[in-house]
Amino acid sequence: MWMNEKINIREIRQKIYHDSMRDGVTEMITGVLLLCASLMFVNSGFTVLYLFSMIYLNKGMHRIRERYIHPRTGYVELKREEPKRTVGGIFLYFFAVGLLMYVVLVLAEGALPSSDAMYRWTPTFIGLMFLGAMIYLREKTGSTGVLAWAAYAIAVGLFFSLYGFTSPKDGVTLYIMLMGISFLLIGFYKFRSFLTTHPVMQEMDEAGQQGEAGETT
Amino acid sequence: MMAHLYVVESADFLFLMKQTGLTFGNLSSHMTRLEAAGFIEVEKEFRGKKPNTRLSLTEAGRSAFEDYKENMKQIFEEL
Repeated sequence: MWMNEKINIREIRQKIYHDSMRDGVTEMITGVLLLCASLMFVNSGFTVLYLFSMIYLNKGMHRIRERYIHPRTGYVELKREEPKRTVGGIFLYFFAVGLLMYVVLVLAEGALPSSDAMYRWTPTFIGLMFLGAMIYLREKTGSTGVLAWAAYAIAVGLFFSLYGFTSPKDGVTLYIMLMGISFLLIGFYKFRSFLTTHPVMQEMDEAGQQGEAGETT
Repeated sequence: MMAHLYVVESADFLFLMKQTGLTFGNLSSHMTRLEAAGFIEVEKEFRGKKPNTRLSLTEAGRSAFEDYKENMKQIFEEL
């Protein structure tokens, strides 16, 4: 970049975020979390497993990145978000979508929706939550590709809501499970591709020699 | 390099090489000058057995970059 070139800070920020998410690790971790969450619906005894996964997966993600990703891309510590603003935004979106769906259900059924109806439409609600998350990621990374996840999540959510499950709870469980498996598989595919297309790099040692790439996987 | 450090908390040498497309020597030369000017902070450490150089913008560097951005904006507006 030359001195007389206009610097687009937003583009640089988006490229850094985009590059830091190309490794598939976030998708794999999301997949595992969703799978653990779906098991909670099967048996409440799995709640402990979910809580453990919430605690340890973050550490696991850091270890995977330190072992496999940083030697290939280098290390970057992204800017910390303002927690109040982020959490506030998530809750606001959650309540807005929840309220909108509730009103639509009341209007469609002409009465307060039953718990079965609420369960039945939960997959669509979760799909819309994915949409919110992906719009946020779209803004962060500048990549419209992430919106494909939102389209997939909403389409599958609608299908599961409209399909006549014997117990609407089964629809929610299977939906979360399917989303978990999808994230895990896509994440694993991206991770494998990332490892093969990004060779290990090293800084120069004190003698000024570029270090050898020790491993390729 | 300053623009990349402006949007993150910190980054290491390899990351900046990849993002900026600069060579090792070129980036190293920039780093030395910016450190001498007090615009960036450089921490050298060993991660395992591998050398690792982590860079971050200092307050003076952040302020200087913001001034530079403002000046450039004015110049482009006047063009």
